[in-house]
Amino acid sequence: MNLKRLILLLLCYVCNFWSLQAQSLQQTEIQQLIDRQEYRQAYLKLSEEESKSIASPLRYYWTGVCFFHADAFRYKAQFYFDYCKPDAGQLPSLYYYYQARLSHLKEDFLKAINYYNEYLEASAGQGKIGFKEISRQIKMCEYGLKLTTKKTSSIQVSALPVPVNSSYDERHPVLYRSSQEVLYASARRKNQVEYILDESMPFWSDTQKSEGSNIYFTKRKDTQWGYPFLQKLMKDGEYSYPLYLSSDGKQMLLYVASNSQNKRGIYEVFNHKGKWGKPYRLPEVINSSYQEDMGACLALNGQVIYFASNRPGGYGGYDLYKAYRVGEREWSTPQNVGPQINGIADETYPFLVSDNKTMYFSSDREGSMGGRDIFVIEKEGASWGEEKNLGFPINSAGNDDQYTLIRGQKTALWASDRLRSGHIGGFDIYTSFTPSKRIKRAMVSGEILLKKYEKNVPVTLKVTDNLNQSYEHYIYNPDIVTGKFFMILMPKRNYTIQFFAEGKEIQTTKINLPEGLFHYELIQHFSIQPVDLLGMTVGAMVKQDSVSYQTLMLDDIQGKSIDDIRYDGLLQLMEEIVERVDKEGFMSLNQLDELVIKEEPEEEGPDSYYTPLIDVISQAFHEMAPDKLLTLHKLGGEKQEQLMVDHQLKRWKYDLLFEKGSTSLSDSQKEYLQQLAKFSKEHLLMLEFSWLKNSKRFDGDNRKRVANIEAYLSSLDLPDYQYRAAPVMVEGPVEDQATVTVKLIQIATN
Amino acid sequence: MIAQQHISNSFSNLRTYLLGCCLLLPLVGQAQYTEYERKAGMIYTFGRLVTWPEHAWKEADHLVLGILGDDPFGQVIDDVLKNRPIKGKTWEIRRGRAVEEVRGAHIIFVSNAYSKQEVKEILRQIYSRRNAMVLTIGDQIDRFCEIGGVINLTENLYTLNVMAANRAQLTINVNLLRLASDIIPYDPDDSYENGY
Repeated sequence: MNLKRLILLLLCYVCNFWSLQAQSLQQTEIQQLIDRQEYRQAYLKLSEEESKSIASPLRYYWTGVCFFHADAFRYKAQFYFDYCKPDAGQLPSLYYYYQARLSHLKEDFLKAINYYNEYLEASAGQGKIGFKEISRQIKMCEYGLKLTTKKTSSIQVSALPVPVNSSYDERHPVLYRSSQEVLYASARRKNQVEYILDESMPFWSDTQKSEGSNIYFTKRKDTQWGYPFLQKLMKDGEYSYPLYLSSDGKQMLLYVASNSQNKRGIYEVFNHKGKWGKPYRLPEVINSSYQEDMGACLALNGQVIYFASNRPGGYGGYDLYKAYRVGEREWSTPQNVGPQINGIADETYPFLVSDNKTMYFSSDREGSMGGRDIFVIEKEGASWGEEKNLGFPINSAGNDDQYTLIRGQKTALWASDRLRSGHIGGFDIYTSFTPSKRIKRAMVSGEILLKKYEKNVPVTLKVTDNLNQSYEHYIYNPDIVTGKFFMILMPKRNYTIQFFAEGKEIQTTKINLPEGLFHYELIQHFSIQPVDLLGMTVGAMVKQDSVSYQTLMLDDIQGKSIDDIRYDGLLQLMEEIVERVDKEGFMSLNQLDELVIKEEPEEEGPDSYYTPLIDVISQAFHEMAPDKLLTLHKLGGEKQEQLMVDHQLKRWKYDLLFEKGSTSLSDSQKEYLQQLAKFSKEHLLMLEFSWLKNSKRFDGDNRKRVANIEAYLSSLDLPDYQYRAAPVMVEGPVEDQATVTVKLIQIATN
Repeated sequence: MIAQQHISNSFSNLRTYLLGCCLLLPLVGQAQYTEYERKAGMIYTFGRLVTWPEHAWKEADHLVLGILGDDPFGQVIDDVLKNRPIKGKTWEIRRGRAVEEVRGAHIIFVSNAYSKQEVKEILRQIYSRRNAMVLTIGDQIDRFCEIGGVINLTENLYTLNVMAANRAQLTINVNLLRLASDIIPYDPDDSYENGY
């Protein structure tokens, strides 16, 4: 019995021993995996049943560490760290560091500062992370507190959606042709359809994990981003990412990652007729034996390169350098851009805007809220001014890299590994939408309908401003069915809109778009009505049936919660229409950009000395000079309607028949002439009276008849230049046909 | 709030008259503009008040002014027209002594250095081509409009031949008619000149 008990006890002991031994082995194995930074293996081990025997605080801590280093779902580490918080004293001091980093990344800066301090206390200054680094992180948190309180609420930031972003790293965006088209690098595997990790497994498997990044192209259509397509720039097995793309989309800098020092570095590649050529490596003055993998850009039509390098001789870490092109593929010796930009921290990802004076770069320098933040610096004369952190919400406590934009447009792109809500995994591409209220554009829309015999007639619009500049882009003619038209113009100007139909100008309208205009609505309905004269159609008259105008100022809607949404919606609409309708591509977009960003026309104005003279003459013509006022003929009223001259007018003729031997005008002829005189006055026409005449100047009595007609018209106050005699010369004898033919000639327009 | 916006196509007579008088005051008071500065200003205004048919711009990026004969303007005309585009077209000035040298011009200014016969020949050469959509302006040339020119600058103001304008396919703004000191309603092809 005793023996049996003894054996049983021994078995229990052995089992327990083996169990403890196994637990210890498991624990050691996981510890080693974590030390070797093999977090996926560690996570898998921790998920095994045997690991459940490991004391829960440590197991939860390790699980938290694995999530912290996971390919996705990094934020889930918080749950595990918080779970083992009561037993934190039993955990390594790094626990506090992880808590601090996670809080920092989640932009809970106060909590992060506390944890950083707890880490320093727990490690007694002897921890893996040194005092200097922790102090630096605390300082970043302090900047973070300042920057987040000064946030610019109107800037909207969002990650591009899946499948543009994925659980893999998406980085290095460059804008292609416009802010609608993007080249970027994704670390996803080629031909792999799975981009998103499942929550149950935050790591990619060995067959899924990234091998390197490749360049992809995506395009925004309306509000949707399209499927990204791989750009075959490199051979299989070679990995690269874009650094810079020229504004015409024809010249790109990219970085080729390779273990071979002779192969890796910045490359330049050109696009010819839509196809990328063979990239060539920039010479060794640019690609040194150190690292140039953190950004580059070209300026001044590709004649200057700015790039980041950690070569010796700088101010510390990566610095920005500048070199000039001295041959097709040759570059001058790079020069450090100097201490105004470079410092002991890393300065990376330079991006010089096309104005050649505004530079964006990423740096983890003092003033960053965590990781690398994006800074902007402007040239002041020959030197650089003071850099400015782009602040919240563009920057984050993570790394914010390769900021890129097109001058004058409101969309910017960059890559960030932030932990803010909306992130997808690792580095993602983010986009910002800058405050639209600052963009000086106004929409003019409404309805222009022209009806002829109850059928709609197409109307085209011609727009000129008060500087006589014509506008062709973003002027969309009225739809023939609905009459809806649309145009995008710059406020703070007066415009003349001319309406054309059937090749003739039918109406001119002047509109004033004051500063801060939100929307101008113009509704005009016209109809073309035939005009008859003495029983025959002479032409057509355009009559304005109705007109109404409404303006909506930005101030009218400011202060209401919907203002940004409505105005942003308007701009979005403008963009979509511009994209959909404009077939002229990139150049026309550039023209719009220029118009948008130009405060005032930069070109030299007219000689102001002559302006009063021109004004006086214009005014004299507009309302006649006073000394000439009384001597001039007056033609009708101010608001004469314009007759649309067409073939009918040219074909119109009327025969005045006389009795043979009679030259006097009958009452009915006088009545006709009254009608003709009235019509000619109204429509600025000339009455031409013709009759046949031969070389012997015999024309019967017709000349006398026309003289009587002229005398009668004169008595009707028809100006003498609005009627004329025009005998038609013929060969041979002419009989007295007793007929005078009247024709109409248009001599002027209102 | 939706505000009503007014579109004004014309001033009221009184307001415009007063404005016109006010604008004239500096000119009268200072009288600093010379004869050819005023004439340059008139040419610019004629350009504004005349409409060329669309096909007149087919091969033209600029509104071309040709000055035939001795140039009485000098630099003045360049200064007046510089950076004062009309309907989006900037001015180009060509100078010459023969019609061929100013071929392609939309406006031809004929200086008063020619004899009546020479002016006749110049006008014949200008308008002998089909589709010669040219506004001819004579510089105080005797009977310029009567022999087929469109506008003749005179001591008072100018004479206008509406038929010559019509033949050249030019659309004349009514204001140009209103201010003309004389309007000629025939062209030289008519037998009017010879009497009938």
